[in-house]
Amino acid sequence: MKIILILIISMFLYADENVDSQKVGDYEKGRTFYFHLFRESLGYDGVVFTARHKELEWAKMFEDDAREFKEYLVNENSDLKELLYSEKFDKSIKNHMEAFVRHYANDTGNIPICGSFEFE
Amino acid sequence: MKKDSSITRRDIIKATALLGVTATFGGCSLSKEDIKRDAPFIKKGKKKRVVICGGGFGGLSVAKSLATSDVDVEIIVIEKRVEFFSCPYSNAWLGEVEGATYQKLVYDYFTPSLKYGYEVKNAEVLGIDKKNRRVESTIGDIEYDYLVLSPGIDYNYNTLFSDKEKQEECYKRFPPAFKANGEHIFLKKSLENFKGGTFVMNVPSGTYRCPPAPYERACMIASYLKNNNIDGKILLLDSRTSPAAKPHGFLRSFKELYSDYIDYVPSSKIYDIDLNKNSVKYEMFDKKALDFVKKEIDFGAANINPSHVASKLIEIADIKIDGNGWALLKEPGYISASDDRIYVLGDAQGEYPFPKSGQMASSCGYIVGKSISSRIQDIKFDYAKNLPGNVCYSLVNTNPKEGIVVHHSVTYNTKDGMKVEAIDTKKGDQITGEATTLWFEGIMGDLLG
Ligand SMILES: Cc1cc2nc3c(=O)[nH]c(=O)nc-3n(C[C@H](O)[C@H](O)[C@H](O)COP(=O)(O)OP(=O)(O)OC[C@H]3O[C@@H](n4cnc5c(N)ncnc54)[C@H](O)[C@@H]3O)c2cc1C
Repeated sequence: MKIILILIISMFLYADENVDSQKVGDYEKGRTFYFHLFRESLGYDGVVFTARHKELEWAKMFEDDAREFKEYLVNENSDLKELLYSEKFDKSIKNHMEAFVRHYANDTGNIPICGSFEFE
Repeated sequence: MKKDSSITRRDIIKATALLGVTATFGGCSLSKEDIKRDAPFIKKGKKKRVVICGGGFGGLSVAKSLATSDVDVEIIVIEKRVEFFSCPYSNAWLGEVEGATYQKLVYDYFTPSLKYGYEVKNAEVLGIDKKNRRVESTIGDIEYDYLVLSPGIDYNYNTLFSDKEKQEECYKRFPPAFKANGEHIFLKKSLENFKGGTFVMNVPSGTYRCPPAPYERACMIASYLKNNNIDGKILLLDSRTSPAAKPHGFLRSFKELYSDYIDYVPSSKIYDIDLNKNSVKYEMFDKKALDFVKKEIDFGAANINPSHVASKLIEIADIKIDGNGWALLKEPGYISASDDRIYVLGDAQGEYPFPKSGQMASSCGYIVGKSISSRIQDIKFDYAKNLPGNVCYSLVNTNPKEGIVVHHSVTYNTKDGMKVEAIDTKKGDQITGEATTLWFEGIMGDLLG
């Protein structure tokens, strides 16, 4: 049973490598988008922002076309509304953003190595 | 505490093997089954025996610490290489810093083993039989009471491109030079054969060995080009928004010393390579368009860096790891989260946000040595009172020799866990340049005699 489960997991792992990163999301791209498009309006470093939630909590916010995530950010700063409800966000930012917040969520253990100013 | 993975990496490897997929390569090539051997079983005697897998910065520090402690213990280091090669200071050799010769980077294992009184066995570890406490190696099975793993890193090319043949070809033609010896010699040759044009380099994405190393390397190559009047430029691609370590010092050096020699491109990532044309395709963030744009560039030489993962030995040991393959430990010490007899340290650990450096591996190595010696004597050891520290120098100029430095201090409490703070210098100077050499000579003298 375990080996079947693992086979399925590894098929996904393998698939991940080959699918378009746009669909899956690249946390490093998400980090760049956060840095250039959100950081100033939100007033926090990415490390602080991503650590606000657990991975599954972030994942839930991205369900239904990131409905909750968008509301959450607009609540923080309404200036972000235009960007969050744009075609650009849905098409080229959303998936990377999801990968980013999930990668550094507070229960993943993925904390940037100290001395690495990843979010500066 | 880190998230547990109840499925171990070995399980995934078994499964991926069925699919004909492997995640990494360039590491150990032998399997237990491959080796038809009639090797002896190295049974332990009355004394407690500590077996250390990996004779690098972490492993040798544990060996020395134990050998110079007051416990009577048998210490065996298993190392697959015949010589010790230092990655630290290898960039100085690349940049032709005065006195930084190849000989300064290479050491024998006989000297420290005779000096301190531990044994070094030249062999490759193939498996760990945790139930019977045996290390399975190319020279036979070796019994242990306590096992220390400090096997360093391996490469993962999947984050660059998925074509396996391309990955292997890329490794052969543009080896990363983040592991010992041959890869560094090849990089040096590539630089010496470089006639001009673009020298492409990228910084590994994710957590990697020695955060300042790629930026220091860029400075040393640029200095070489400058000193030898070579009309070339380094294209340094980095997926981060600024250098992963000592950002002020490096950015300043790029601007003030190498504006004609280094083109540093933050938020950029290689996604393909054409090995016939010698060109790379990459994406970079365009600040005007506020989006990623695709680019392609031909190069005359390259240093292509995949992501880093924990050494294959961690997979082989089949101990608890995090989602990225780094070993998980019981906080605040270095005992594996899944096996009380196994210690893991150095670059292969993923429990603590320590920079992956030789100095850090060594600092933790001394602590592990002390803790094992206490354990053998039945004395309680307080990890919270024995915290490691790190200092990391990087050269930014060769003539005059100038360096920058970062200090890391570690604090621990049960609520916040292990925390690391960094203080770095903002500008290169000659005093730090000299300190870089002294640090290197100091740690080599200490560990290798
Ligand atoms: C270019 C460069 C510059 C650097 N500069 C600095 C610096 O200035 N300062 C600093 O502090 N750090 C520096 N580092 C980082 C430093 O080299 C590493 O952090 C350090 O080597 C980690 O020590 P370790 O014990 O974890 O691994 P290693 O030192 O890599 O030791 C691991 C050992 O295990 C052996 N091994 C692996 N698998 C097996 C097996 N199956 N069987 C037997 N043996 C095995 C390997 O052969 C290796 O010798 C630099 C690194 C690079 C690449």
